Amino acid sequence: MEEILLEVNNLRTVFDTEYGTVKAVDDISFTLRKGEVLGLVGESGCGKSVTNLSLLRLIPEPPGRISGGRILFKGKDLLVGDEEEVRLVRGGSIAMIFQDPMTSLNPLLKISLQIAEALQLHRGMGRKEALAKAAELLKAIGIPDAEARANDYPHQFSGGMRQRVMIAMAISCNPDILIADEPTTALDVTIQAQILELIKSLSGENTMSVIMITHDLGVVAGICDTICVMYAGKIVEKASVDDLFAQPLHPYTKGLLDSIPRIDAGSRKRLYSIPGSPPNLASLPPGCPFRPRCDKAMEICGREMPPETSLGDAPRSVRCWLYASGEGGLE
Amino acid sequence: MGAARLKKNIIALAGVGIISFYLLIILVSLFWLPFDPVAMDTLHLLEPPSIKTGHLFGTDEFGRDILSRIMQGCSVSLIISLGATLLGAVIGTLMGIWAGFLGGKWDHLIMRVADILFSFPSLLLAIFVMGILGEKTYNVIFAIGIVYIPQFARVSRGAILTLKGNEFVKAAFSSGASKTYVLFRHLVPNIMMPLIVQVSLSLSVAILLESALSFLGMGIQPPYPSWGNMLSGARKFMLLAPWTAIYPGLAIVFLVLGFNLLGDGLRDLLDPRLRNVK
Amino acid sequence: MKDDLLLDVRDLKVHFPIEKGILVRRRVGWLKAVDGVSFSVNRGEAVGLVGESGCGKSTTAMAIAQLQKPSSGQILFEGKDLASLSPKELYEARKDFQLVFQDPYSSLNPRIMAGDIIAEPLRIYARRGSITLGEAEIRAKTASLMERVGLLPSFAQRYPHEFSGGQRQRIGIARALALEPKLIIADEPVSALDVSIQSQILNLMKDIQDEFGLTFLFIAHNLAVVEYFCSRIIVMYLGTIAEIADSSVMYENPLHPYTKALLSAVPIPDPPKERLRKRIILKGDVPSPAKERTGCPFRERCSYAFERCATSRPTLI
Repeated sequence: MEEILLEVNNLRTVFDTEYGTVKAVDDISFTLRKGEVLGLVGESGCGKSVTNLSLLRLIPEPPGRISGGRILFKGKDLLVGDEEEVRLVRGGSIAMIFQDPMTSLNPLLKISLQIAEALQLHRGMGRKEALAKAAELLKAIGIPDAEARANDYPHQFSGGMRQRVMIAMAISCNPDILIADEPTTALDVTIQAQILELIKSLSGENTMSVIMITHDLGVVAGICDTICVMYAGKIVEKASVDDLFAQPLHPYTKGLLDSIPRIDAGSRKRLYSIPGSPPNLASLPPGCPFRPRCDKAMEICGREMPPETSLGDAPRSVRCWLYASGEGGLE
Repeated sequence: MGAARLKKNIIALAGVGIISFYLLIILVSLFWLPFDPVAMDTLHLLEPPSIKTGHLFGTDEFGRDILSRIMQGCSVSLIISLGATLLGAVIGTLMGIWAGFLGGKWDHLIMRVADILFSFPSLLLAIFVMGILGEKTYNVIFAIGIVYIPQFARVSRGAILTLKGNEFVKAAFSSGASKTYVLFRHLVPNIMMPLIVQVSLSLSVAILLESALSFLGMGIQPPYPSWGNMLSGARKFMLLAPWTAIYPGLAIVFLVLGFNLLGDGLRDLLDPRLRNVK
Repeated sequence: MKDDLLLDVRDLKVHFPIEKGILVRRRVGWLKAVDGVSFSVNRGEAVGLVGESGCGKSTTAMAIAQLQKPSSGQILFEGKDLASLSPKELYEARKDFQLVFQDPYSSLNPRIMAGDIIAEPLRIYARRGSITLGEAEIRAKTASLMERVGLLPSFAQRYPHEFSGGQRQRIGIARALALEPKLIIADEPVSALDVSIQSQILNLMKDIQDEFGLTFLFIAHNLAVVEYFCSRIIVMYLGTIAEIADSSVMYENPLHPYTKALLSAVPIPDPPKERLRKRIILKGDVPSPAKERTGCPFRERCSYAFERCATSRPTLI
């Protein structure tokens, strides 16, 4: 098995708001190995994006604050180093792409200059060398007619091409980890397929690890190795992609999988739907946050948050009283 | 959330309090003033504030009682401020709604006119209008009101355009609603918020503009007092007799503050999104 | 039953002028958002209109709902050409087709309470005397509508911001049902919702369709959602129809190269299956609808393109 690149232990991020302290990320732990593609899946407000921002200490402070845990990157805790050290890691060893490629690019700078700037900053390249490399990168990520288009401005590129440019900038410094936050949500499905293909091929070639943040279970099925399902700031289930889809354990995961319409579903069986709506993080019920929507809820669920229970092989774990020892248990 | 709401209420209440105080002063000044505000008193020129003489805020270079002049100036300032804002808001908002709602060539025409008016610095435009109309009290209202027209037109047009793109407008049309119905039921109530902000801003700026006009000698003509011409008169004696400038200045500052607090508070109170969430 | 036609769209075109100039605006071209679309919808059917952004599906929907003036073509609703109706007749006809919108936030006026939003269509028609309902009856009807879409009638006094996204969409559906329409045009009704809420809304609309015998025109970009909800699917590309197929056979046997590519791009939540799938990755992006073109609109991105595709536009078979 490949070496562990990133290890997140008991990370907690809170926001102080008018309505009290909101635990946006509450005690989450996961590991990322070299070359692994990890998916963080969940609905809006589940804390997946805050997790991602916490990894690079990009939480706006105040109102936010990382209140606990460790983030070990190659054995070094990113939460204790000073700002400058983290800045070098950010964009250098860990790169990020976001959902909206339009607002991530400077509209007044030529595409080639924006990529070259990153190269000059992080790899100390000269201007000429950086510009040449920028054109090369654009070609590598599949921009047709790359030399000519390098001198275009962002508005001359379509959404899909802009996301490619963002990826080119992100991989320009050969990062160890690429964090992709909903990279295809704003794109059409045929363009999404192009971008996912690109990310997959990049992680394969460069043995780059990827953290993929998305709400779309279909997207993770095709690209990820391991998946963490998040709900109300917690990771409720962790598993390899095959295990998760073949045998989901947590009632939330099960419910989600049963509630998405599938294009390959021959018979038109009625979709399952999870009752209620995702909870407000500012006023969580005691115990398991999924309990009000869960059809398997027991008495203990209302009292105590279930612990993380490991089952079977390494990544597999679940936070549900159904599987915690002593209570219920696996049937 | 109760506390946050209370805080908004306190802001609005403070605004209401300040403005009520000024209204009270106007009411009192109609029946009683400590001294005749225009009567000169050559024996008491530039006297500092004193309880003994009865001139609580002192006297000016003609020996007139500053407190009495501020009290009488209060109604002038408020009338001009309210009148000019009302004039600008009504005409400007109607123009803006018309342009934004109908679009096309009406929009083009109205907004170019507004642009032309807007391209003048506001004081210059007001002076220009005063020059044409002549120096009379109600002309100050016109002058400042005209300055406000393009501002209100822009704010309301922008708000209407943004709202028009909302799906609830399409929903209303598909529910059989007529244009007038959509305009008054769905659009106009929703532009109130930016308009209230603009109104409270305009009320305060009007006081400052009136002061500026009077200061330049184009507004309220002496010997009748306005806060602006009081400041203007105090210019020469400010170092010698600071009270001649300080008290009218403070009167302006607090009234402007009152309008701004009221506007802020009203905007929040009128927004159903900020009403208590169940 | 097959002849029971409710909606018949014939050669619908919606072209927007492209204007330039600061003082005098001149027309420099046309943006052909919808360029010759014909299809029909039978009573009780759910027809899906799918395609990627800019394909003209929403413009088509807005034209059918008479919220966008078509440049040419006919929209026959129960045999009447909607464009030829007088304002008064159109107002009466509107009762029969209602809309459900995409954005549960912008589709509800933030200053109007939920009950009044749902009652609004009823009040408008009652005031003009087209329906005879008193205020008490309107209230009762609103309450029963709220109950039907899964909201407590006591929520009528609440403002939109007090509801979650899914609940807001339910309010939107109740509003669309108020006038007891025959056709519901749903423009991306679930795409702004969370995954766990999407199926709630889809199931609700399905139940309502069965219960009231409604006809649905369902616009979406998500093929899986459309396949689940609709019995027939119309695939649009660049303002034209690429393919019309029964949803039961579409996945197994897509004909148009674009449909094939679109289907292969939809991710399937099944890792082993997903790994084995052959994906048709399309070259490039959708061309601009403002460009003058001849022949098949898909030809630049099509891997099967041959000479004839460039010269003449294929007709719908």
